[in-house]
Amino acid sequence: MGNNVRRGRVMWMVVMTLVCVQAFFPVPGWCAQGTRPQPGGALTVGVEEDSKGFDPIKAGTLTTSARSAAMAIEERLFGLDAKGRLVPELGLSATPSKDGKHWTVKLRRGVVFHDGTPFNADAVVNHWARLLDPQNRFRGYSGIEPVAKVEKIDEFAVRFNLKHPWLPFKNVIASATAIAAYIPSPKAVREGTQDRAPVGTGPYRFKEWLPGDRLVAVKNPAYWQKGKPNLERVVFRTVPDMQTRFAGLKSGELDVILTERGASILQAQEDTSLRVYSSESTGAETFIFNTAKPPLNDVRVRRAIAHAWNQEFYIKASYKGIIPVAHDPFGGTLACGDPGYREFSPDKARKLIAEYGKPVNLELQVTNTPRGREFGEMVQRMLKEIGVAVTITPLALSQRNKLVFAGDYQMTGWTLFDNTDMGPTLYANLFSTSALNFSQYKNPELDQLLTVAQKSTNSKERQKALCGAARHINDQAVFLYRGGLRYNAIAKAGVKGIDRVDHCIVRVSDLWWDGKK
Amino acid sequence: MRFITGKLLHLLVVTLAVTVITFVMLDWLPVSIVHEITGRSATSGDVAAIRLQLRLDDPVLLRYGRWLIGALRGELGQSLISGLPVADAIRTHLPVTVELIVLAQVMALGLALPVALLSAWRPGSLFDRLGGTIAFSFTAIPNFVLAMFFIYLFSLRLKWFPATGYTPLTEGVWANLRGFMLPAAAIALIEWVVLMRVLRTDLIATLREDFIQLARAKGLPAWRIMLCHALRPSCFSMITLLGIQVGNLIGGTVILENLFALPGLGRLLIAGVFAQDYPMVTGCVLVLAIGYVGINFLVDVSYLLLDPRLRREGNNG
Repeated sequence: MGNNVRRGRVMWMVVMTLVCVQAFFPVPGWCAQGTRPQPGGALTVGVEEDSKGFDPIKAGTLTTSARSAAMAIEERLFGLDAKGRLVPELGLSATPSKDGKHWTVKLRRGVVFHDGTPFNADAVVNHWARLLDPQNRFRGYSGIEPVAKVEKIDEFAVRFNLKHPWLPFKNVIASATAIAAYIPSPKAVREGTQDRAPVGTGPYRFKEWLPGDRLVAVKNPAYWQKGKPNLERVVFRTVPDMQTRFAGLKSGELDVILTERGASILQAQEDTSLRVYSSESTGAETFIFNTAKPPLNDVRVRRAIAHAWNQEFYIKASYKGIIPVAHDPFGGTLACGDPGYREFSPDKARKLIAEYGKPVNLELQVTNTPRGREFGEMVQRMLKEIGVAVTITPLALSQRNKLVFAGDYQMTGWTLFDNTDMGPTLYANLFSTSALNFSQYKNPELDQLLTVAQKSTNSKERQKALCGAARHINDQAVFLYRGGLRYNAIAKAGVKGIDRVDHCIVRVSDLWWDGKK
Repeated sequence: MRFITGKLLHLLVVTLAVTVITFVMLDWLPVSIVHEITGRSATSGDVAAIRLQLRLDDPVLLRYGRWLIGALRGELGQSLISGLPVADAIRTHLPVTVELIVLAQVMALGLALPVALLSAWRPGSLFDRLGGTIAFSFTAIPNFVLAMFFIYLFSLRLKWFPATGYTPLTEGVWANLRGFMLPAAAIALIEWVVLMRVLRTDLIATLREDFIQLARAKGLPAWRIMLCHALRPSCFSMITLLGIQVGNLIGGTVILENLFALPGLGRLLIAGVFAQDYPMVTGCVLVLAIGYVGINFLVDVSYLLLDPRLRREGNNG
């Protein structure tokens, strides 16, 4: 008996030790997946749309589909781990000054661009000078506006000089979605070829790009990270139709696809030859109002619509429940407590409309796509229940955008795009004098919160301000949420190494084939 | 010579008219090329700068004139969205559409000819009636519905052909052809019906001619009568229709190109229309107009080759 008890205690201690080791020293993805990375093979990734280009001035932004290709070919100064900590890539360390207005970044030595140009401080300085030059009209400037100048300290060190202390700075230089974060070859930029034949320092070299069809990248044999990448070749194939993309995966032409189609995801979850990977992101699908024009300049009308809008039903019907419900734009990355989300309550909505006292007729502009029209019909039906008449106007995407920019709309669907730090995004979209304030919303209280979030160097104070902004948005129904952002990838079971697809990025440098491809 | 000169003049007039109308209509579309370029991050300053850079505030006919002068020099301009030369984009996309159309028409003819010959030899027979019924049922099905069925059956269930993607000929002839099988079949199974019915009708009329009776009286076998004597004088209507079909298909394959992710001219054109990328659209329309008129010109020329009576009339005339 005594021996048995002792044996039991020993077993319990061994188990607890293993649990503690796992908690503090998580095993690498490949080990957790039960196989070791194997070199060789090719991978075809199905994406929705073609890239627009890779030169930040010419392309302006990275399309969602282009992010995976950009990360394969180019690199940032830093990446971010799952906890938001900087991970060295081309940069080794980023140290702020005492006043928070200067950041010194030490650069990695011995790295060469694919065209033989050495990576050094000049490459970083030239890239940022080009972005900050007002003559170039960089379209992503609002996201980097607090950066005043980048200067060279020595061959492998640069200093970022900011207009004011800016805590989101490290997220900006490590952003996976911002084209500004990726360092291009100065030679390719000078020769004007970076846009259509990108050159970076990444694990894959650009090989060819057939517009509208595919972008091909091959393994960089001189990559500075030894042992990476595993795959010899990666092809990003443009397949616009969601059903065709899924059919291509099932019939074998594609190995990984990115999709938001609920039916495909549900089907893939039941298919043992496929694996589904999902990652939630910050940002959200939104439903914006022009708050400068009646009747939406009246908070009662906006609050009524907020109570009449059933986000959960919309997500179930339109997305088959595959995206999360959003109550704030932070995707669970900020613990805000109760953000004051206005619950679905047609009774409250009717009371507010009655209080308003006038007939409410609204126009909803939607994109002329199946999802856009579906959204329009649901809004029309929900608001009819509370006595609000809605006219749906389907428009081409660019035409809808034009009207929003001109302030010539009442309501429309929109997207608050994901960013590692949503502070600058909220500031750009909601600060009263911002050129990108599509809702035309002007409120000193919200301005104050956004200013604190933009300029404070105290992370707790920033968090408080951002959460306050989220509560203000819900309280004043500045805009509504149509669902959080969740990115989904479906891959063949033999593709290993996918541990996240946040920001809609397939990190192809981490992937390998288990068994023969 | 007069015939050819007339046709070339016709080509020029049609091309000019089509490009002017397209250019002007594109200008009227309620889309915004500027916002297509800038996405959601444009300020009013960006919008103004792009409008100035692209000279979008110039009158539409002035912009057209500028484009036409460039086109006459062989420069079709650059895409306003991608910055790629339009001529290069068309050069890479057009062969995909041409290959699709050629394969589809070869398949359609491969079905239409034997069925028409057999049906005309025995009109009213079981084969003729069955063939006609099956043929007409295909015309009721839109080609994209047929395409989706083919994807389900041949790609997903049987895994015989790929559901998507284009493989250039340089990467393997069979791989290239496999990628076109399903979309070409989806087109062919609808196009063959009209070709078959027209040929059948003309064959039945030709088989009543005296020279056919003579051939029968001489004891020639049926296959020889049909293929060597009856087919040639009966195929003019079918050839005319073939030309019209090919002309229509050049710009009409856009749905299938999207469905099968084929980087063809149709996809290029529709993307340009939605983005109001007028250099790309007018470049594509120019190619379509030339293609359409050119094919019909070839159809007319083929009559001269096929019908010696026309050559004799021309010489006498």
